[in-house]
Formats: sequence, structure tokens, C-alpha cells
Amino acid sequence: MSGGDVPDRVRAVMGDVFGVPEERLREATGRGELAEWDSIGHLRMVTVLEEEFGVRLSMEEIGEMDSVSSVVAAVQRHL
Amino acid sequence: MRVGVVVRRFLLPRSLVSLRAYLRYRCLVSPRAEVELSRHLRIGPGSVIGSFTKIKSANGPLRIGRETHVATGCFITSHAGGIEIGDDCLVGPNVSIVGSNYRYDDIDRPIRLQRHTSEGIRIADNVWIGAGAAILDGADIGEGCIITPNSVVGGTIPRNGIVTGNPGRVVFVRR
Repeated sequence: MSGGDVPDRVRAVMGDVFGVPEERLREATGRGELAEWDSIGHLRMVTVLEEEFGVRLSMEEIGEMDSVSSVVAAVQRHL
Repeated sequence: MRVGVVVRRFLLPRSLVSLRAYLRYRCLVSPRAEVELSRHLRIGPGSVIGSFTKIKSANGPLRIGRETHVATGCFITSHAGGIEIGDDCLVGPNVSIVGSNYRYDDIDRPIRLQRHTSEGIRIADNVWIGAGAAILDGADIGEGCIITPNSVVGGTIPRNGIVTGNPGRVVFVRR
């Protein structure tokens, strides 16, 4: 897997989980900007990301993921 | 309805039920709760039953563990399959736990006249059930689960699962 396609795949997962077009998920998009990104949505996203990438995120990482870029960074750390 | 059931359900002062529950089980039942005294009912010490919660156990075993807190406005009714709620559980306001289902396979008869089925409900220790959730007959909820508000659960949930929706699905496993 090339490092370059991870952000796109993460955005695709997030768009799918939150039901929003990927164009709304810019690198700096934060949790507070998407009504769909609530606490349950956050956990669903983590579960789907872990299945998609075959990784396991720590609770600390899960708690710190508050923007698209931080989600990408957390996933990339495990690849 | 049998005379004994009528007396227990309608004529016993609630404060007497609360006193009996404290003396017998060392649990706290609000005088504003409606807890039917029955040989099927067991409540563990330190548990709390909130106001306006109704518990019917005349038709089947109902066991509530130790230190389990049932908030206000809940409805818990057991049938032949029984209901078991573990220790240290939190049951939020307006939760329904209904241990039976009507059959509805005869299209020509009113559903209310068809028989019940009751597989029973098991809720393990340390489960948190959010406000307004419905736990249906056949539910088997593992230890440490969280059921989010207004979810509907009727199947098996593995331990530490966080469940949401109707039908309830595990969206995350606590770690």
C-alpha cells in the first residue's frame, strides 16, 4: 500500500460512515464541523477503519482523533 | 386475575413494598415505583429501583443483581423464560425490558388472543442501558456492554459491545 492513498481511503471511509460527500472532508475538517460526526459516529468510524486497514487503534488515539488529518495520522502510524 | 395477584398489585401500600424490599433484599425501591411482590422476584443488595418504574414478575422469574440501578419510568416484565439482570448494571430512564412476545402466525385471529412465547432475557454484569432503549425477549447482552439511548436489542451482544440503532448493532467493542 502506498502512503499516498491512505488519506483518500480514510476520507472514503469517513464519507461513507458519516453519509457526507468526500469533498466536505478536507484535511482540516474538524469534528465540530460535521453534525454527523457524533460520539457514536466516531466509534463506527473507528471500527470501519480498523477493518479496512487491518489495524487496531489505542483508546488514546481514538480520543485524540478530532480532525480528518488526525484520523489519517493515527491510521498511518499503524501501517 | 387471581385474588392474590390483585391484592399484591393494587391493594398493598407502596411504602410497605419498599419497606419489605429493604428488609428482605437490602435494596431501595422508591415508594413511587410499582413493584409487584412475587415469589419469582429477587433483587440484590444495594440495588435501586426508581420512581414510576413498574416491575411485573408474577409470570416468570426475575432476578436483579447487586448494586444495579434502575432509573425512573422503566417497565420490566418477566414471563416463563425469565429475566436476569446482573450486578452493577445501570438502566436508564424509560427503558423497557419485556420478556415475552405475542405469536402472530394466525392471520384470522386477533394477535392478543394468540399465545405468548418467552425465551427469556439475560443481561450480564456491568451493562449500561441508555434512556428509552427496548430490550426484547431473546436478548442476551454480554458483560460490559453499553446500549445507547432508544436502541432496540433482541439478539446476542458480545461482551463490551457498544450497541446502537434498531435493530441494535455493535458499532464498537470497548477495549
